[in-house]
Amino acid sequence: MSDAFLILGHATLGMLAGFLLVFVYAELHHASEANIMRIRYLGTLGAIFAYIGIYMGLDFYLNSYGADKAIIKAGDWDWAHAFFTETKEHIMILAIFLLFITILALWKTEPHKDPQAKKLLFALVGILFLGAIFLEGWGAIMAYGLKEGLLG
Amino acid sequence: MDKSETMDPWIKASVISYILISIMNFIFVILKEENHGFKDSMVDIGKVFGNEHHLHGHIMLLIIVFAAVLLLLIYTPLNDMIADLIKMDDYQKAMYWIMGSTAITSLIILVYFYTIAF
Repeated sequence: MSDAFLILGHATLGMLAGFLLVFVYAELHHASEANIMRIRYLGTLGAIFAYIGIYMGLDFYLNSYGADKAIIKAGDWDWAHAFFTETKEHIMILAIFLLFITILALWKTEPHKDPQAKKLLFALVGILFLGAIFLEGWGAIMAYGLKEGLLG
Repeated sequence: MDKSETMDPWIKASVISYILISIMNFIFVILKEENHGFKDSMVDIGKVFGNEHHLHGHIMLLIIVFAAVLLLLIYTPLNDMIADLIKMDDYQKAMYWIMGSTAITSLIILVYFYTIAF
């Protein structure tokens, strides 16, 4: 896969996952027998999008980011790597496990009957959505750091 | 009925594993930055799984630890024992543990890299 495909796919799937998680958050507010399967399928689809997005981002980061990193570090926005890239790569790791717990919670609890299970899912989906927004923003800062380095 | 009997054991075990992974994650981050020997170890683990980047080793190690702890907790009585110890007897408590672990880990990583970058 080309670098452009990996990095654009990474950002797009991250946003799609975030969109689906907000959808699930809204549906959870009035969870019932009528929409519980929709909540489970949409939440699982969001998690799958997020996993594929993470995989694409990691593939780019591990195999192709080295050249970009050198340009960013040589530019005016060197902190775009030192702070945003480094923070993003390590906070992202938490998402790998939170997504797994979210899929478990979607299928092994009954949020439409158990208010505590509903709260757990609100927290999981909420953290993941906020994480998606932050990670998207930090990715944009990395891209701008690269532009600053190139324009030098 | 005891509340812990109503809580799904897989969710309980995965939340306990997550707490451990959250702590390991920021310890790994700090060791990687402060100790070059540790970074080399992560590179070696990464090589075993097909990529010699330290982050690859870091992630693979955490996934293996998470899976190993999860299976250990599921198939031994440790799950209930630890859940009793940390008073995680219902989904609401599990929610507090997840939110707390995530917030504290993220904050430590943010502050740590901020001090390095600026």
